[in-house]
Amino acid sequence: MDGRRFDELRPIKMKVGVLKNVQGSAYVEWGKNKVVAGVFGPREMHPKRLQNPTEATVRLTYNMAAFSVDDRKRPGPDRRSVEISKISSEALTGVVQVHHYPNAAIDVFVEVLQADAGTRCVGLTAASLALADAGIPMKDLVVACAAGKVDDEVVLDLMKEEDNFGQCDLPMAIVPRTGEVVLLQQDGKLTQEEFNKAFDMAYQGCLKVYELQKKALLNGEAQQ
Amino acid sequence: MNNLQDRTIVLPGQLLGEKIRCENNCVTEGDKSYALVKGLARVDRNMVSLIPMNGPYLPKAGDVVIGVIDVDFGGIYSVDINSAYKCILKPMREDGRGGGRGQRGGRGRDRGRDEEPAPENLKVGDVLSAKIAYVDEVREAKLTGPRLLENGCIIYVRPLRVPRIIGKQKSMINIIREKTKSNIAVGQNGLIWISGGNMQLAVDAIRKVEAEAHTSGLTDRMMEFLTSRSNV
Repeated sequence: MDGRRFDELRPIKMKVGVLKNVQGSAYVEWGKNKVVAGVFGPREMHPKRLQNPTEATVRLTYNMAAFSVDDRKRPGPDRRSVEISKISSEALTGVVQVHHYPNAAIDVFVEVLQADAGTRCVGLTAASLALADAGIPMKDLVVACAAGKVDDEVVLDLMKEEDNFGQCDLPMAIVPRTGEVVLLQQDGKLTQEEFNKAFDMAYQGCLKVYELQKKALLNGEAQQ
Repeated sequence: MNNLQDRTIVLPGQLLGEKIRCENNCVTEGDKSYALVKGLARVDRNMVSLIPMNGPYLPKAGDVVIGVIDVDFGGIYSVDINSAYKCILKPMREDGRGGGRGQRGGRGRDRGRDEEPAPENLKVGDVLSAKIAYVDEVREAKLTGPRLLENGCIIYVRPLRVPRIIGKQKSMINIIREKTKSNIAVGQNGLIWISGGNMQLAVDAIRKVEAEAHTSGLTDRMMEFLTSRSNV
């Protein structure tokens, strides 16, 4: 719709170390999405009954600003943001070396300042950059990207109109070093062939974003 | 087999080499070793160690830390040392009982334990410097040899920058102390207590060292900086 090829990503800009009073932070612009992530911790886990004496708990809080969408979003957690927080926390727990910090909590806050479809992928990508910036030991970065089906065509990285009026959305997060898939959701219907094609497309998209992530961590910022 | 040059900056998940020995902040899977954090790789023949760029402070036995008393359990205190883990302090009583190991007036750091504050003189909110005696398996630490720090302010720096702030044989911190005429106590946990003298200059100098910790010739530049600022 915006003149991209079916397998082309939107323009991406990443920056690390953008916030002052956090352990690590990152800012990602992905198309019209603007997301900032900050890491606090490892710090003491509250409530204490949730402490795990063998490992740390990674808690990601996803929040959309009231002004992030066209209609005003009612502030505070809702069904969707609680779900995204949960799946993103689980995706990050797979890579963070949680056994280094027994009883502790690692809190990641993801704030969506402007949303234009695919915010969970952008949020997760920013969160993993912020964790690496904070010096939290991780076996690799987590990188996320979505594919989907619009007008009977499998496409990469859906924008807002494609997502709203398309037939399917398939966000995916991977650990590039091991090839593990740490997040995979599907909203809509795909045939087996279409799924395989969308999966491969999203995987390749993730690898492109991974290269940018590495560049951003080394140079402070990166752009595509 | 090493793939790396010495002093390369590596990222989490980056391959460090095959069939090598790796020390800190690395993980070995099969024959291959990978980095866990962003840091500087030091390569010595078949050995790679990683110096992280940033990271949290974890209590280690022998570290001298600065903390704030946050809970009083009636003579036993919980001390916040700006880490994920609280420390326990059990000062020695006037009659010499309690306080864990050692006796008053011992050797080394215990030498000055006659001046150690008695439990009844400590209260919530007090700032103190103490040594970590030991750390247990869930990283909870016990403090020993507390020294009360009064009438000062605390600033926070990245814990991994602390060795640079202290300098080789305390060279850097001594320069700052001398030029600012401040009393400065540096904790390995990244908390720095400053009192008296030109405190603003001391804070600025410490912030400058923190920001430029990775550069060489810093001691000379700090000398110039402090001389120019102290003459203003």
